[in-house]
Amino acid sequence: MSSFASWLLRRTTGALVLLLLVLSATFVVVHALPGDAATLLLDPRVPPSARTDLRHLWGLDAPLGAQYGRWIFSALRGDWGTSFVHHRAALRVLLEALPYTLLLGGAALLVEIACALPLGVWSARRRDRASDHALRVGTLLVSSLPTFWLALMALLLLAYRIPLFPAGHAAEAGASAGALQLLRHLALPALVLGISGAGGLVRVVRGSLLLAMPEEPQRAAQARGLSPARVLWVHGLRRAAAPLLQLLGLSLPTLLGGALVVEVVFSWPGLGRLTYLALLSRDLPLVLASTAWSAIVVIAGTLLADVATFAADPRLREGVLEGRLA
Amino acid sequence: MPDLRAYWRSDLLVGGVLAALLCAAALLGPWLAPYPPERTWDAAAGRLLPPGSAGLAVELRDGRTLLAESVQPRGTTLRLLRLGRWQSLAGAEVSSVHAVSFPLGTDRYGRDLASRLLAGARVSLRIGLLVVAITILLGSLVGAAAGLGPPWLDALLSRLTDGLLAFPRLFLVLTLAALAGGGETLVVLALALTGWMEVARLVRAELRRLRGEDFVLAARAVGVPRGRLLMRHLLPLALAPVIVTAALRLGEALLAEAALSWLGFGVQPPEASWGSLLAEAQASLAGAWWVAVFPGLAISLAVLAAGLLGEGLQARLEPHSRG
Repeated sequence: MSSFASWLLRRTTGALVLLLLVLSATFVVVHALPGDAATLLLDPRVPPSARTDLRHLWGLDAPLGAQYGRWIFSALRGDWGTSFVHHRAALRVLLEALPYTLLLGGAALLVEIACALPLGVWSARRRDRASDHALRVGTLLVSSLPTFWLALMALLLLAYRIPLFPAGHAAEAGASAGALQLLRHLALPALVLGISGAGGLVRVVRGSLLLAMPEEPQRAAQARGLSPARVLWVHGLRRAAAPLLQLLGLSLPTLLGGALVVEVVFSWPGLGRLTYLALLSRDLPLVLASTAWSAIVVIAGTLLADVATFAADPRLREGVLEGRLA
Repeated sequence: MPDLRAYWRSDLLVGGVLAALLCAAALLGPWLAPYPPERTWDAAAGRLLPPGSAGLAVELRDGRTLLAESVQPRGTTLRLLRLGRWQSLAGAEVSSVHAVSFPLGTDRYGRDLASRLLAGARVSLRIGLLVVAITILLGSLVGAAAGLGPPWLDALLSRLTDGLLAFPRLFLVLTLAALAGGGETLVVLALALTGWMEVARLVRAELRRLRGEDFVLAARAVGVPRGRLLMRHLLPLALAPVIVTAALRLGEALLAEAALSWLGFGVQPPEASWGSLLAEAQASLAGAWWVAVFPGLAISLAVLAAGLLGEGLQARLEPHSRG
């Protein structure tokens, strides 16, 4: 087996073990807490016999061990239980929301990179000058703004005061409204989520560039007649690509967490808003499934980032830096 | 070559001054606040007054308060201009009249926003500091166990750390907090239990690096006991990155508390935290910008202060880590 395939296999097994671990933890937490779905969802006036029937129907009367075993095994088979609120398969409800989150996350990532790459390169070129430090404090300020508050402010200014964008409710606009309508609804949430994450990324770009392209080779390249911009944009970024991709992968949990609050503010029908609504109504199967799927998305994304790192760095492909990604 | 020390000095200075001001506001809040934070002045006439509003508070004998723009005595009755209309009150009903002012305006229940912001500073900063303290303690314990313990323990703890790090923290915290019912203690626990991993990683890496150093080998060769080696020689050296990370974690904890309380699963209204103030602001967002703007600015300032302190300390304590 090639070193890449064996590495991928190891990486994937690790990811699966990790998933199982957290699924178990989530299950324990959910069931250790007082108050189950039958007590919460049903009107107190519902007669006790009907309550018992429902608990039996939902499997809440089985011993915890049995509930756990059944849940893990059916989850592996693709059966994540029936949502208490939607009365449909939890996985189906979830998979309907997932594309929206991937769309929002992807668009936000594009915004983030489009902001952070030029600023990071610019900052690296002006290393330790006053403008570099001004930008540093500026990015720190942007990272200090709560994402949900930035979203609220954007809503207040750009949807209510100056109605440039629709004030959310992409869910109601629906799939029937067409791609253009969807993009109109996507613009503001994606901008907010992207800008909110860009602050940190600028620093990362600057740091990786300076690490990958120290002063000596920079000066050497300039001595050969390359422009300073070309040195960093072409040669520097190429060398910094691998660590940058790694760090982008590591920023996925933050991105998804940010997506949750942005989705709630803008009523964007994604995984985060679904989880929020499921938590509000204590829809246990849906809560378990969406927490697990938030991890699946992150783990898959990190795996993708790792593979991209392999592709971006020829030294890794040839196994020269064996073990660096272990 | 510009003087880099000037930059980290100004970071430390600005961050320190900001942090000191915020902490002073939180500590002295009950004395600084113009009014009690939960006091409703007038649910109708005092509702959502813009920043800088002032008026006359007419205290009634039955405990209620009416806010009036102007009051004129007329024999035994009192005429007051309230909500744009003149109304009369029997003088016997009134116990006192005094001037009030709301520098940051009022919220939709007619409470003074400045007083609530100060009360919120107390709760939010208390939660943030507690979370960081527990996070550092828990993370250092796990990190020390992984960094100095047997290989199987290291493998186990490192897997656990990596596993939890893969999760979007907000999803985990929300699940924990929502299902256990909210409240301040729970927020602290949920945030600390989901925030220790990066500290553990840091401490582990630092200890493993130090473990191979000559002075450690020398100490072990002359028979310094493990516990003493750890407490006297290793932990103090690993302290610098931990202090830096503590400042950065503080910012993160403040942001997480705000998000959690805003979503309704953290500090519950009417108790004021910066996050729960924003949760209450949600309903009046379109008409009254101030209820949402000021708490958000307070959070941002506190997080910025923590960030500046972190960066300044990093430049000061770990001069080689900067690009």
